[in-house]
Amino acid sequence: MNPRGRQDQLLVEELPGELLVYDLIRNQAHCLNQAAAFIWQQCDGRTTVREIAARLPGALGLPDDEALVWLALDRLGRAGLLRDQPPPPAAARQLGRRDLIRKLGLTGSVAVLLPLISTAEIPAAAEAASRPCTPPDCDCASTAGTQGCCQKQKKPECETCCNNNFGNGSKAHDECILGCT
Amino acid sequence: MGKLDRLGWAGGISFQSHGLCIGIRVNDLEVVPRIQNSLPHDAVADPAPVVDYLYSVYIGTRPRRGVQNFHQLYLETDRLARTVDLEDIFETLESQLDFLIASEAPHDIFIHAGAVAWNERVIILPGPSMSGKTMLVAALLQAGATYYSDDFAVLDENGAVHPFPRPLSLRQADGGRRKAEAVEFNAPVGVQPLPVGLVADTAYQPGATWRAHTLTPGRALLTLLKNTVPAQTRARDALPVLRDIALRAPAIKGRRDEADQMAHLLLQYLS
Repeated sequence: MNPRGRQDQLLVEELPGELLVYDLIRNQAHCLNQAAAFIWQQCDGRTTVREIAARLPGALGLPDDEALVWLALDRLGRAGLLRDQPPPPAAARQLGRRDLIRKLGLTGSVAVLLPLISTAEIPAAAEAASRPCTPPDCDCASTAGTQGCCQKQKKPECETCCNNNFGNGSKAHDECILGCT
Repeated sequence: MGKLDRLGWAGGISFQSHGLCIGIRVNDLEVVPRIQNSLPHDAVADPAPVVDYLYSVYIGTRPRRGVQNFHQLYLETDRLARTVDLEDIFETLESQLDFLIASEAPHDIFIHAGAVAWNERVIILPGPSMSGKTMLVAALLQAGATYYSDDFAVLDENGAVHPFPRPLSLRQADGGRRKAEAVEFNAPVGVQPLPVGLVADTAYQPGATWRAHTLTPGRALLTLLKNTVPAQTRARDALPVLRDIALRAPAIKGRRDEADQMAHLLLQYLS
């Protein structure tokens, strides 16, 4: 089986050296760096992993090494961007990004070129407009945990915060609600 | 809606804001002036008999002994609030109006972000609630910036930021919050749309040392997108607008300590 990229229900925005892919089904957005984008674009169902690896030096200045392609395929698969994902060989299964940098003896300026995908969950409108902050992003220095964050807001935002952060009926939820003034 | 319709409604108001026609009916006309204080700054009266969305504010009648006097707020048939505190109704109405407009406006893109202007460009501070946006906006106003919003950066199809100036909701030392108008900081309020000059993702963390990481355009676009209110329903509209901003304006990210120092650092980016 050759790798094949998914095309359905995706919105793609090209940027210099990057690709932004919005998954309309999972409501996730992925930022692919140049290497990840290039490898994804080679995944047409006809091109083998070997052939993709052979194109890396000319296109990106990266070594001709299948491990780089397998790393990218692993990341692309986890992001839900592959329709067909061939199973990796045993050796490739264990290699992470840092392992690959050491294995290939890559220096800093080349290492940053390795395939990389950043993913963000895209919330629904209600969550985006009122999503409560949780540690470490919000100021809970003077109180303990998320409950303190909720109590920094007046009702009804405090109650919304409790509902979003604790299961209904749980003791933590009840304590959180009681703390809202 | 029938049951709600049969309650005694004394009158109401309807207005246009960001392409939406919204009506608010009441059973007690005395609360209309207070409700008008809850409307967005760009609300324009519209006597249309049919609205896109209808709120109903039901003021509880005089209490009988042993019976609590509840006030209620509805959007269509959904009850949004039921409380004995009348001020809670107005605050809920205000926040619900903002949420409705942010999520349903047909043309503008609302980002959950603070926004201030400096040297004819806007600094956008994306982030969720309680991440310290309002404190940083307040510090920027004190440093001389122009107020656009402490909650929503409103983008038109060209990526220009329009003002959405609600009173700032400031955190107090005792954990409570108070409202403050921009005039309290001697800050002007923005009037015209301006281009984005900087995107700053700066979450507050006590004791943090500010170390700015520059975001690539792709990462900047991700940051903006995950804070875009109607991202799920209007991704096709939002992406090109956010992409242009990510390509034109620098974007930085990092954890910061107190807002005052951070404000001056940010203004230097646009100086």
